[in-house]
Amino acid sequence: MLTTTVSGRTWNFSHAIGRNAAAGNGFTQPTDVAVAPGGVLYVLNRGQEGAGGVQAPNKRIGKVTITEEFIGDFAREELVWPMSIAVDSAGNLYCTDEYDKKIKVYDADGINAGEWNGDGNLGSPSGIACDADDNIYVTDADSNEVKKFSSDGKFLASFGGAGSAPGKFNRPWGITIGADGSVYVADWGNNRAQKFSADGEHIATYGEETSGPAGALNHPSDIAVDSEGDVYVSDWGNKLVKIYENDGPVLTQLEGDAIEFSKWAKEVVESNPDVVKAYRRVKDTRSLGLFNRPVGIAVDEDDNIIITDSTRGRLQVYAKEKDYMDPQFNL
Amino acid sequence: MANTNKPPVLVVLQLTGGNDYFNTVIPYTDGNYYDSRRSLGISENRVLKLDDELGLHPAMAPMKDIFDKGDMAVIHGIGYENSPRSHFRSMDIWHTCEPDKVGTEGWLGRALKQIDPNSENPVTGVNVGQALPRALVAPGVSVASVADVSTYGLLTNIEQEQQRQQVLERFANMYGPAVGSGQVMEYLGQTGLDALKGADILKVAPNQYESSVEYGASPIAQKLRDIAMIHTADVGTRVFYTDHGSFDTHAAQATTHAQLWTDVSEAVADFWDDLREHDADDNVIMFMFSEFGRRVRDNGSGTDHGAAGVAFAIGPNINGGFYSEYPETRAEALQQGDLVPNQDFRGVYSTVLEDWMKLDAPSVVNGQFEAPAFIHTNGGSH
Amino acid sequence: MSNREEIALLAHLMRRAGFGATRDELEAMAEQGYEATVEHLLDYENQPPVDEYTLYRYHPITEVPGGAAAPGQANWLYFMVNTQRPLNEKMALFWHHVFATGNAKVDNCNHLLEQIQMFRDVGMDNYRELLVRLASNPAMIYWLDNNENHKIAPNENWGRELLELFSLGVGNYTEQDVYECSRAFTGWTISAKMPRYPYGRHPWQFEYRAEDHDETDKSFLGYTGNFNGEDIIDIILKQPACPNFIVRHLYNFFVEDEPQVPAWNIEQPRNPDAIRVLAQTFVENDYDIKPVLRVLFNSDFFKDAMYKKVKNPTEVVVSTLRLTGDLQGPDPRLEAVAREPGYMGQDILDPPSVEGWHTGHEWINSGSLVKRVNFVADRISDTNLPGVQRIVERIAGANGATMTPEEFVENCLDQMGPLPVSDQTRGELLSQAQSEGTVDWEGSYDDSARRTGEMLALIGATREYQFG
Repeated sequence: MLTTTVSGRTWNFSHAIGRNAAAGNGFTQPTDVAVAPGGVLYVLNRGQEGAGGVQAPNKRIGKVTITEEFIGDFAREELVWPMSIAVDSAGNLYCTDEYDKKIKVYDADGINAGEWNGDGNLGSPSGIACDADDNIYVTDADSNEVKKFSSDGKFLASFGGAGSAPGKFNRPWGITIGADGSVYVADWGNNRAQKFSADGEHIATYGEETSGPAGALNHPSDIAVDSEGDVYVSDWGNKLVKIYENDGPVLTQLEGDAIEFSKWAKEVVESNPDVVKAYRRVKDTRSLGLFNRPVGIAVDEDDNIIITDSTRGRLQVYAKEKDYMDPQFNL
Repeated sequence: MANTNKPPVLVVLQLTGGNDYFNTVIPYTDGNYYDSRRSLGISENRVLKLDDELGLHPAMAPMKDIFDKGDMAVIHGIGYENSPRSHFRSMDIWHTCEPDKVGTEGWLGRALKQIDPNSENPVTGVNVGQALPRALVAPGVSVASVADVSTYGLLTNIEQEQQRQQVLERFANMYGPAVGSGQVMEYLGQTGLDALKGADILKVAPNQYESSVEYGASPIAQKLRDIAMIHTADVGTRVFYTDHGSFDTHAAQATTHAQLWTDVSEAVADFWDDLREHDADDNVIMFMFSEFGRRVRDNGSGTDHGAAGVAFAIGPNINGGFYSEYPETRAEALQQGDLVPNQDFRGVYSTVLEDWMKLDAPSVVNGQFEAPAFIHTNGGSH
Repeated sequence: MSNREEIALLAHLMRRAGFGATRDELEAMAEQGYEATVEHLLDYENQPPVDEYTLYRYHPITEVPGGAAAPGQANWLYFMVNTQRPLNEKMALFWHHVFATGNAKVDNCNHLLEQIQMFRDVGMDNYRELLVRLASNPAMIYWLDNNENHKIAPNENWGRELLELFSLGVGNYTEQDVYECSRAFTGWTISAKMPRYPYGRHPWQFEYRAEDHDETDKSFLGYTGNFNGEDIIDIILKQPACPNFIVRHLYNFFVEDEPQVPAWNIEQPRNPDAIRVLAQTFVENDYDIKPVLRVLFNSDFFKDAMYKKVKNPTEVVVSTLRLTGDLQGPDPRLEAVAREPGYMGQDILDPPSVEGWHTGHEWINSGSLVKRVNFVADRISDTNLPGVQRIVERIAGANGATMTPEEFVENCLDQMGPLPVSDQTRGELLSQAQSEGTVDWEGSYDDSARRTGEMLALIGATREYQFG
C-alpha cells in the first residue's frame, strides 16, 4: 500500500529513482546510498566480478539528485568489494572495500582523495558512518567489532566482539550514528540490530520479536534513524524494511511500492513497444513494486527514507509525513 | 582443382540443432509453402531470389552474393532414409556414416587417416571449438582441438623455460605408447602427445597473421577468423571443423533464425574475403550442413524436428548452382509431415572426398552413393 | 582391510559420491567405517545447507544472473565447493546430466538455478515426484517448448524427450506414443511474466490452463483414457524399460563409463547383473532413489570400479579446489574460475543439447587435456594454498628428515589418491625426483616444499589422474 499509518505516524511512498543499467542513469546492484547536502544522493553500485576476477567497470558510485537528475559517476575500476558509503560534513565520501581491507576516500567532485587501512585495523570493513565531528565508524565483519577512526584513518577505539549476547556481533554490516551520537548497527549474522551509546554501551535491540506485525529480522543489512528517533532496518533476508520505535518495539514494515516506473525507467518502456505489450498480458503487476533485496537505507534531513532496492536496480523513496490526517473510512 | 600445387583443404561448418531448410531456401512461388508456414512464411518480396522459384532467407544477403558469383552450390533434399529426428542420433549418423548402428569413428577421422596415415602432423585436422566432434574421431588419428588459437600450451605454470622443457619431456614419455594398457589409456596417450606437438606448431599462427578484414563479434566470426589464421600460417592443416548454433528453433523462430543466418552469412563472407586477401582461397572449399531439416508445417511460432535438409558448398573451386532437387511439398508427398530426402549425404561426402580431397570415398562413407558433381573439374577456378 | 586400503576405498567413494576429500577428512571417515560414511552421505539433511546469505552478500549478482552464464555458473560452483552435503550436490549434477537444460535457449540462469535447487530438494527422494516437478519446472517447460504445446496444435518436444531421454530410451515407444504423450501435457505452461526491462528479471510461474488441455482420449503405451500429464508419468513408470534406463544412467555416472546414451538401445550394459539389481531395488522401493544409491555404493561392482571413469570437467575443477583449499567462501575470482569446466568441455547450466554431454573418454581431447592439466597444475603446485601446505606437511612428516626419490614419489602418489600408476609413469616421476636427488626436509624445507608442488603437478598431469 502506498500509505502506511501506525501509531500516529505515516509513511507515504514517494517515488522510485533509477533503472537496472550498467552505466549512466541506472544502477547495478545498488547496495548503499548516502545523503549529501543539497538533495544529492550517492549510490554505491556493487556490480559483478570482472572476467579477470578483480575490479569490474560496473562497480561504481553514482551521483544523483532525489528528484532523479543524473549528475555523474566515479570510482570505476577502483573497487573490488565495496560494501557501504558515508559522507562527512565537508562532503567527502568514504567507501569501505571489504576485499582490499581499506577505506577509499573521494572528494565532493568524486575525485579520488586517497585511501587508508586504519593502522591495519580493518579486517573486513563493511558498514561505515560519520558522526557530527567527522569521526568514522566502521563495522569490521572479521573481528565482529565497531571501530572508530579519525577521518584520516587513525584508530581511536572499538567495541563489540564475536557472539550473540547483547553487545556482541556476528558479521555486522550497516551502521549509522544518531543525532545524539548513539551508534546503531545491523547485526547481520545475529538477525537483529542493536543500539549503543557513543562509547559502546548496549542500549537496545531490534528485531528479536518472532511474531507480531513483522516477525524476526533475517540478516538485516543496514539501519537508519529519523529526526524523531524512529529506526529503519533493511530486512535484507526477508526483502522488507522494518520500522521500530527507538527503544525496540516494532511498528510496521514496508514491502516496497514502486509500481509506477521511475522517470528513467519510463524512457526504457516507452521506447520498446514489445515491453509495453508484455506488461499488458501480466495478470498482477503488484510484485513490480516489491523490494527485491533492499540493502542500504538512509534518511535525509526532510525525513525521506531512501532504500536501495538492489536487484531491481533502483531506489525507493518514502516520505514520513507529519500532521497526517486519515481520510474517512467510508469514502 | 586449382592450378596450384597447394594441397586441397576442407572447412566444415556444422549448423547445430537442425536448420530449417524450408525457410533457408524458400520455394517462394509454391502455394504449399505459404499454406504450411502460416506464421513463419516469408513473403515473396522479402525473399532473396536465386531463380524463378527459389530464394534465400532475407538474412543471407552475403551468401546470395557468393551464389551470384557462381561460387556456391545448393544441395537440395539432403539426408538419409528413416531419419530418427533426434539431434544427437542424427548428428552421430552424419558424423559416422552409420545410420543403422552407433559408430565410434568419424568420416573425417577416416579421411585424415588416409591423408596422414602415420599421424605425422598433429594439426592435419583442426577443430576450432571446445569439444571435439565425433566426425573427427578415429583410432590413431590426431586432431588439435583449439578453443582460442592465441593461447595454447601445456604446463604453462612453470615459468623457467629450461625447467619446463625438462618436465614436458617427462610428460611426453609418460604419455608414450603403453602396450596392453587398454583402449582408453591408449587414446589418452595419443591425445597427450598430440596436445604437446600441436601446441608447438600452432603457436606460430597468431604471430604471423595480419589482415584488413574485420570480423564481427559473433562466435562463428571468431571461429572462422581462427581458421583463417591457421590456414594462412601454412602449417599443413587439411581439414578444419567448426560449428554454430543452436538452430533448434521450436519456438520464436522468426527472430532466432534470422539472427543465426545474419551471423553465419556475414562470417562466411568475411572468411572468404580474408582468404582472398592472402591469396589462400584457391585450395579451399567450405561445406555447411545441419543434422536435419524441420517439419513442413509450423507450430505457431516455430518448427519441430524434420527430415530432409539443405547443404552448401562454397569456394572458387565450386561449380555454383543447384544440385539434386527440391523435395516435393505436396501434402501427399510428405512423410510424417516432412520433406523426403532425395540426396544421400554420403554421396555429397563422396564428392568432397573424391573430387576435392582426392581420397577413396567408399571406405570412408561405407559404400557407393550418387555423388553430385559440384567441384570444378577443368583444373581451374574462374 | 588395511588402513591404506580403507583410505583408498573411501577416497574412491568420495570422488564418486562427492567431489573428493582431503586426507584429514578421509581419516575421520575411516574412524566411522565405509558403510557409516555411505549413510552419512545419504542422510545429507543432517548437515547444514550451503549458507546462501554469505554468497549473496558478497556476490549479489549470482542470485539473479539473468541471461549471463558466468555468474550463474559461479553460483553453482560456490555450492559445489562449499557444500557439506556432497552427495546431494553430486546428485544435482547427475540430474543435470540427464535432464540437460541449457542457457543457450532458456536465456535465464535464474530459472536454471531454480531447477538445480529443485534437484537438490527432491533429487534423492522419489523419481515419480521428480518427473512431476520436472514437467512443471519453468526452465524445462520453456527449454522443451511445452508452453507452445496447445490443445489445437501439439508441440512434441517435451513429449518426445520425456520418453527418449528422461525415462525410457529410444526403441521403447512409437511415434504415436510421442504424439499422445504430448497431447496429455497440453495446458502445462508458464504464466506470462513481467518483462526484464527496466527493473530486471521477474520469475516465471508454472500454470495449468485447463482450457488449453486436450480432454479427449489418448492411447499411450497400450493404455487408453483421458490422460493428463501425471497419468502419463504413471504409465511410464509401469514400463520395465524405465527403471533399467534410469539405473543405467546412475551406473554410467557413478560406477563405470557406458557407451554414449544414443547407443543404449543397441549396446548392452557393461554389467547387466548390476543393472538388474539396481532396477529391482528401484521398483521394489516405488522409485525411491536413496535405496538404489545405498545398494550401489555398498556393492562390490562399485568398489571394484576404482579409477574406471574419466572424471568430468566439473569433478576436475571442484575436486582440485576442495583438495587444495582454493576458492573457499566468497572470492573475487569466483566467476572467472566458474568458466573453467566450460573450457574443458562442460559448460554447466549450458549443455550442448537436451541430450546432455558425451561423457567418458570423450571428455578428453587435445584441447581439453591441456586445460585439465593446466588447471590442476596451477593449483596443486601452489604451496601457498592451505590444502597444498597440509599435503606438504604430511609428506614431510611421513618418514624422517630425508627421503629418497623413491620414497618421495610414493608419498606424493599416496597423497594424490592414493593413485596407482603404470611402471612407465612411475619411472618418469622417479626420473624427475632423481634429477634433484634426496629430499632434505630438515635442511631445506621450503625447497622440498617447492619440489613437492612440482611433483604433485606432474602427477596431476598423468593419464592415470584423468580417471576418478
